[in-house]
Amino acid sequence: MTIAATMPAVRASELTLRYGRTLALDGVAFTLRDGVTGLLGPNGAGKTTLLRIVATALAPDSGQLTVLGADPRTGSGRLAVRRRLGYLPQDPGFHPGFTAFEFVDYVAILKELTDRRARHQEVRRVLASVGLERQAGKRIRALSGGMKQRVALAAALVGDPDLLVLDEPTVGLDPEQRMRFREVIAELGERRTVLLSTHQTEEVMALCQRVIVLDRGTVRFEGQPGELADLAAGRVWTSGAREPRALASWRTGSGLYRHVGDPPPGADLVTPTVEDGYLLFVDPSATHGGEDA
Amino acid sequence: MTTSVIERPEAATAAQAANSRGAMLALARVEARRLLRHPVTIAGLLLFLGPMVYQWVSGGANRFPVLHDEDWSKQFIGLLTLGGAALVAANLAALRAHRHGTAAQYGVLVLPHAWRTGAFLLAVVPFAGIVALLVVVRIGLLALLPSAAGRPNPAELAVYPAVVLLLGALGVLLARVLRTAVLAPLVLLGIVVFTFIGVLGSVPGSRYLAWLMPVSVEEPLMPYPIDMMERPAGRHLAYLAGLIVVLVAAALAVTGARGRRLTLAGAAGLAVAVLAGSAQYLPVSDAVKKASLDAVERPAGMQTCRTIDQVTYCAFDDFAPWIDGWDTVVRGVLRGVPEQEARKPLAVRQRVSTDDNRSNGFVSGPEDRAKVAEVWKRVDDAAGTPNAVTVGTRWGEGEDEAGFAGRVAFEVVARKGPGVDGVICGTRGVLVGWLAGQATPLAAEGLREIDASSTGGVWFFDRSFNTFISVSDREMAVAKALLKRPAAEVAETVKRSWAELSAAGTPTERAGELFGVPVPPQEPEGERSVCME
Amino acid sequence: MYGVTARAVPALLAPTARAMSWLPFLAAAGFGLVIVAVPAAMTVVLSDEDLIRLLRLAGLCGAVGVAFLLDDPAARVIATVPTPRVVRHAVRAAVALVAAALWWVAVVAITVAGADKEVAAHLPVWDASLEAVAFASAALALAAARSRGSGAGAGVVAAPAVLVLALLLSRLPERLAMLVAPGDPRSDAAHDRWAALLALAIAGLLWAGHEPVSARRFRGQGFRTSRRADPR
Repeated sequence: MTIAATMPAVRASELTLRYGRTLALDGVAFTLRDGVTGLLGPNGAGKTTLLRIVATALAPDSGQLTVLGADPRTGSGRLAVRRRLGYLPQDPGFHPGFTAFEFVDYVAILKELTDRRARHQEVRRVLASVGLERQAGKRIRALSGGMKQRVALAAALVGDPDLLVLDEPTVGLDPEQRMRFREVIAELGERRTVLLSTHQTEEVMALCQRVIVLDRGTVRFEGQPGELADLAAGRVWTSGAREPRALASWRTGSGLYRHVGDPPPGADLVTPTVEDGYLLFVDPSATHGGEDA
Repeated sequence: MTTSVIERPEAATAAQAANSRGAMLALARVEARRLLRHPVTIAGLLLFLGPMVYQWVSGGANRFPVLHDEDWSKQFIGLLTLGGAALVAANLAALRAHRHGTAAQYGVLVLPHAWRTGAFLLAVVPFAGIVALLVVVRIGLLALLPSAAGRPNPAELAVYPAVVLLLGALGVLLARVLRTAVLAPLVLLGIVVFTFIGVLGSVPGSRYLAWLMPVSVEEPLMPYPIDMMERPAGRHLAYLAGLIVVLVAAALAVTGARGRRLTLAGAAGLAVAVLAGSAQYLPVSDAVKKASLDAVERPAGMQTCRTIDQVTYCAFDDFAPWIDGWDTVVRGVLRGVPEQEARKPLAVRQRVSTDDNRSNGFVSGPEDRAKVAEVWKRVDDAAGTPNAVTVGTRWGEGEDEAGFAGRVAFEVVARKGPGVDGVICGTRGVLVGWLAGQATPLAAEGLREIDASSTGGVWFFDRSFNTFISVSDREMAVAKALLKRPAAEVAETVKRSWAELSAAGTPTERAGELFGVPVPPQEPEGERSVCME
Repeated sequence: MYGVTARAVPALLAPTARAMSWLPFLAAAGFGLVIVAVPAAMTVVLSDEDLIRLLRLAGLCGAVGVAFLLDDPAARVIATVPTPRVVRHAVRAAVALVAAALWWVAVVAITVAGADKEVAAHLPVWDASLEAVAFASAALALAAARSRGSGAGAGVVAAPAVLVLALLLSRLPERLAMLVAPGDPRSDAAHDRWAALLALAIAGLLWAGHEPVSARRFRGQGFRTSRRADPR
């Protein structure tokens, strides 16, 4: 599309931000290119803060940040970014008296779509893309949680943005809705840059070309999901009993126990998943850092 | 466990109630701490205390407080700052679950809704306790002043924490009835409006409104001796207590609490509120009526007299600590007077008035004033202190001292007795202006204030009475010129030429010649003030 | 470069007006009308001082209502639209002030109509209006400042804050007095201070619109500024 393949949509280095005494981001560096990037991390890792910074809602205390070729810290740069940006916040709010159409239309005006006819067409398009054609005339207060989430996504999609920043977009959705969401996001990721945060590792596996693991304000891993899984190679095994020395140990559906950690000699090693790799990073007792990523 | 429930259901319910009570108290503790830390609470406390502390620190505070006036006179500002804080903060706290969308989670918790409401209500109690402590400490500090008059009424002091409890409970009730945060500020403004309408004399029935509000700002004409106090303090406190119980019962009832005890408590509160509320309008008791009449017509019986050198001071018993303050001013005036004049006996009597002329703007005719003078003369003659100079029941401000100094000076110069009013002309005017201004530093300051805020001369009046004497601008100009000079130097000339200066009819120009001060030209005929002879 | 933004403003007016939470404002404005209308309807003669006091209380009601007009539950969704925050606030503030102005005209008209002719002729309505505008602007500025942290619940903080401000003004030392009676010699100086307060409020409103929000200004509000603010 508009971004050349060689030009990353987001380039960040040394991003630092404090809330009072809490260091929320500590020298975060990463680049985003076309495609879907997942941001994984435990609660309080700084995911929302990082997304808000990329989405120009918050300014970092220090560090370099280029979004879509512009510097969001200058007025003109911020405006340039925002004209090509879609942002879905965590826990979005609505005007409950508005219909879905009216709300998205309102956001569209704020996105400077001033031509009425074109704007209405665009609103219908984004509502259709999230599967809400039939609910467009319903008041938001009458919609279910999943539908509200889709209204918010539709609002983010207005104007066909080049960069989409989605904060836990599938939270509160049922499996079918989540599938539908994945389809929409995957399609979007074919042509533009999508950054989404999530707690669900299978979502990363299913959707993302790249993954960033954030923990306690620093990037622990940046790479492809497969690489994250590979890091746990040789460190996941199964046995018939609980293993207290493992980092994580749980009984699976098959009745066998699955362990992540340092295996005993002769252990029955199995193929690791993204989740296994992730667990190795964020567990405080994990010996491996993210430097090798 | 299950079997015990089946076997002894009442024991289980009792245990459950005890659990709920424990949880409610724990929640109340948490909420109380939040309430005390709330910015609105802190702002309210600062706004209540700040100006008082500032006044003391900057030295502008009155060192002659009337304790039975100080106890209630800050109630309205207490209502606004402390009561307002309790109202808004308790309302926001009770609305918190709704505002942050946690109502659904809380709705299924073990502790029933009514108990949670109870915790919000209880949370106001520590704040009220702190307010009570502050009020007691404040009045205690005032009472420690050697010159504090009267004594505080505990019922008036208790109104401050009662108002905090009342408005706190109102805040919780409002939150339970209407889930909007706009209501509490508006209710506070509404209370202000009605309290204010309650003292508008022109609104019919306003007097009835005044005492139905949490706090009445009905102000007596002046501070009176305690025996004359008409405020139904005790009944008003009972009325507030009844209202608090009603509000608490209502807040619990709307959140689902039921039961005979709650109904009984609510009914009892309502009964107390209605009875005490109406009892506030009982006619003033005969004892108070008699005290009021006596204070005006036969004050000697209610007064303590003390003679310092040849000056006799008679003060209402509650105000006796002020005599030393008056004496300082009298000594200051007599310092500028020849020895033989200063030695003559002089009397000072504290007086009160019950003629409320406020609604017609303090206008009183000469015949009214003559009647007052007549009464005063009779009182003084009967008590053996003829021609006593009048002093009121407000003291400690510059204006009070300047006014009193002026009246003492006039008595020393003219020996005409109290109740005389009019413009003092000629050298007598100069003399009165100078004697008053040099009496004490505070009197000098008061004289400057009066001069700055009045036109056509300086008025020596007590804020409580309609009689006054004044010195016009022309004489005041000479007096002010003299006040700039060293007092001893002027006093020497004054004492030497006393007979001439104190004689009626000596023209102002003579003072100008004696002291070498320019005298402003006479005002044109017609604009000139009419001099008293 | 703000050309596109400027064109969005007219289109914004109607939906913004719809999106604002009018109920608190209407409640407050209605109460303000009652404050002046009841004495006006009764056949009592109020002095200019009493009337000004009622007008001030009515104005304060208006300010309390206006404080809720910046409340925006969807603030997080529109935090990063190209239309700058200051423009979004300005549109809301403009709609709010137009509504408040209409209401204030009614309040003043009722007061003047109900007052004694002699008193009404000398009633300093412009001074009272300056005070009301200053209060309303202060309310908007406080709400705007609050909504930088989170969009919802700005009025909940701003409304009590306006009352605290009014109390503060009523407790100023004599020489700085701002709530002076009509005809008071300090009136002119006091209204210079009111104008200064108005200017300060407008400056605050503009400041609160600047972007981006820096975390430093919200120190102590906790880690989760993006979510609901610390519940109080």
